[in-house]
Amino acid sequence: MLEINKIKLDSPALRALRGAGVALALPLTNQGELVALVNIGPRNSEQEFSSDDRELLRKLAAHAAPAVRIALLLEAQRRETEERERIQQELQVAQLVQKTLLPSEIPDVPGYNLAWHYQPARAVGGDFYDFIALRDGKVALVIADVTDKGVPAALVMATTRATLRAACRDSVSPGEILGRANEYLCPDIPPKMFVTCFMAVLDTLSHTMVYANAGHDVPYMLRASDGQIGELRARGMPLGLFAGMPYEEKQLTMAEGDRILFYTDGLVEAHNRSRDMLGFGEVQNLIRAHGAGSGLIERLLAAQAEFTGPGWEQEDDTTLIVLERVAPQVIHEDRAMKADDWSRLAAFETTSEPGNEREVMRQVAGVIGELLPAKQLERLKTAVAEATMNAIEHGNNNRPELMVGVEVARSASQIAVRISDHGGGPAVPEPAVPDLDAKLAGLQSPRGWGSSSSRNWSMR
Amino acid sequence: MLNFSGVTYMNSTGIALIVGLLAQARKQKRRLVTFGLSDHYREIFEITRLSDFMTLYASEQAALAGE
Repeated sequence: MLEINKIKLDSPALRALRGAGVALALPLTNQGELVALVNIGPRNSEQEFSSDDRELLRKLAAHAAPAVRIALLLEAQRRETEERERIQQELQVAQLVQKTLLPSEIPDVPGYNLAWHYQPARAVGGDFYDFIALRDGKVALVIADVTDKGVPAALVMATTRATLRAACRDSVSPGEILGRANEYLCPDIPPKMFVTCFMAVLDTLSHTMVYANAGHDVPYMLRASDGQIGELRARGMPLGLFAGMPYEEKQLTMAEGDRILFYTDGLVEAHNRSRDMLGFGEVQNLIRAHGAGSGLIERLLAAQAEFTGPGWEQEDDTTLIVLERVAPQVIHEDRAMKADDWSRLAAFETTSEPGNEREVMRQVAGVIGELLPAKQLERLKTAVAEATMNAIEHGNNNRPELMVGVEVARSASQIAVRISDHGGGPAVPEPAVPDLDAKLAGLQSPRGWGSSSSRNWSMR
Repeated sequence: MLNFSGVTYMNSTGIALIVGLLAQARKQKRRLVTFGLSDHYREIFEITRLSDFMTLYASEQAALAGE
C-alpha cells in the first residue's frame, strides 16, 4: 500500500496520481504478479486513513486480486478465441477465393476425356492446375506446385496462375510461355520459394502435344498400343529462381486410348507409418495395372489411402489430372442405316483447302453415277459440297493440312455419303431456316445457307 | 441482269453473294433479274426464296422482253 503524498520522489506517474487527488495506491498481486492497482482518494472527513481502514483495504486486496486475475484471464481467452475465429473465417474466405482461381468445369476438349482431383493439405494450398483455351483449337494444360503449403504458398500460387495466363495470351509455345512467366516471377517471388510447373499444349485436331517442364514431377503416359509407360521429360528449372532460363520443348502424338497422368508430389511422397514413401515406381505400377477405362484417379487415391493407413494426416497438397484420347463419336447415325446391309463404294480423303469441295462433289458423283436419277444426283452433289465446306471451315478450322474424310456406301434401297472432320472449332448450331427477309433488311448475315440446304437435300 | 448460263456449280457462298447483291439493289430501288439458271439451281433459288425477290427468266431475250 502506497501513500502517495509520503513518497519523496518526482516522476510523471506520481505527478499524475497526485493531480488526480489519489491518496492511497493499493496494488493487487497474485502469485507474485501485479494484477491491478486500486487508487483511492482522500477520506470524506479529511482525516487520515486509520490502521483499521488500512487493514480492511489489505484484506480486500488479498481477496480481490485472484478474482480480478481470473476475470482478466477469461477476457484474454475470449479475445484470443475471437481472433482465432476471425482468422478461421478469413481462411474460409481465402479458400473460396482460391477455388474460384481453379477451373471448376470440364473444358471442351473434343475427342478427349479429362478428369482431375485437387486436395490441399490445409484450408488453402500451393498446388494448382489450369486449362487455358489457346488459338486454333489448342488447349494448354497446366499443373504446378509452389514450395511450402498453406497461406504463403497460396499467395504465390495466385500470382503464378495470373502470370501464366497472361503469358499465354500471345503464344502457343509452352517453352516460350514458361520462359516468359519465369522472367515475370523472378523479382516477385520471395527468396527460397519457387514453383515447379508442367505445361502441355494439346492440338485436338492433329492430336500432337508440345510440352515443357519447369522442374515438375515428370508426367507418365500409358500407351494403348503396347501398355508401356513413357515419361514426359523436358529440361527446365523451376519458376522464380533464376532469370533468363531456357525451357526445352518436346513433342508427342496421342493415339486413341493413350492417357497421361499429371500429378504433384502429394501423391508419390505420401508416407506410411514406417516413413516409407509411396514412390514413383508404385505409381507407375498402378497406372499399368489399371489399364484402360475410367476411374484411374479413384484407384490412385484408394492406393494412397491404403498405403498411409487410417488416421493419416495429409502431408502435402495433392493434385491429379488424367487426360485420355477417346475414340471419336459418331453423333448422328441413322437408325435405318444400321438396319440395312451396307457395302462401301468408295472412301477417300482430301486436304482442307477452299475449293476442294468441288473435287469431293465430282468424285462422289462419279462413284454414284447411274445409281441415282439425274435430278436426285444434282441435289446430292449440292448437299455433299455444302457438308464438305462445313467440314473444311468449321470442323477443321480452315487448316489446310487437316484431312476431310469421305465415305460412300450403298444398300439395297439407300445411298449414304459420310463426310468427317477433326471436330474442332465451336459447335455448329442446329441449322435454322434462314430468313431471307431479315437477310435482305441487313438483320442477318447474308451467309448461313449451307447446313440448311444440305439438310433440305438429304431429307428428300 | 445476272447471266447464269454456263454455271454448273454454285455453293452457299455464291448464294450469300447474290443475297448481298439483292439487298444492295433493293436499297437503290433497282430490280435484279436473272436468266440461264439450270433446273437444279432454279429449284435452289425457289427453296431459298430468292425467286420471290427476282424474276428468273429462261433466256436473255425473255429477260429483255420482260422489262
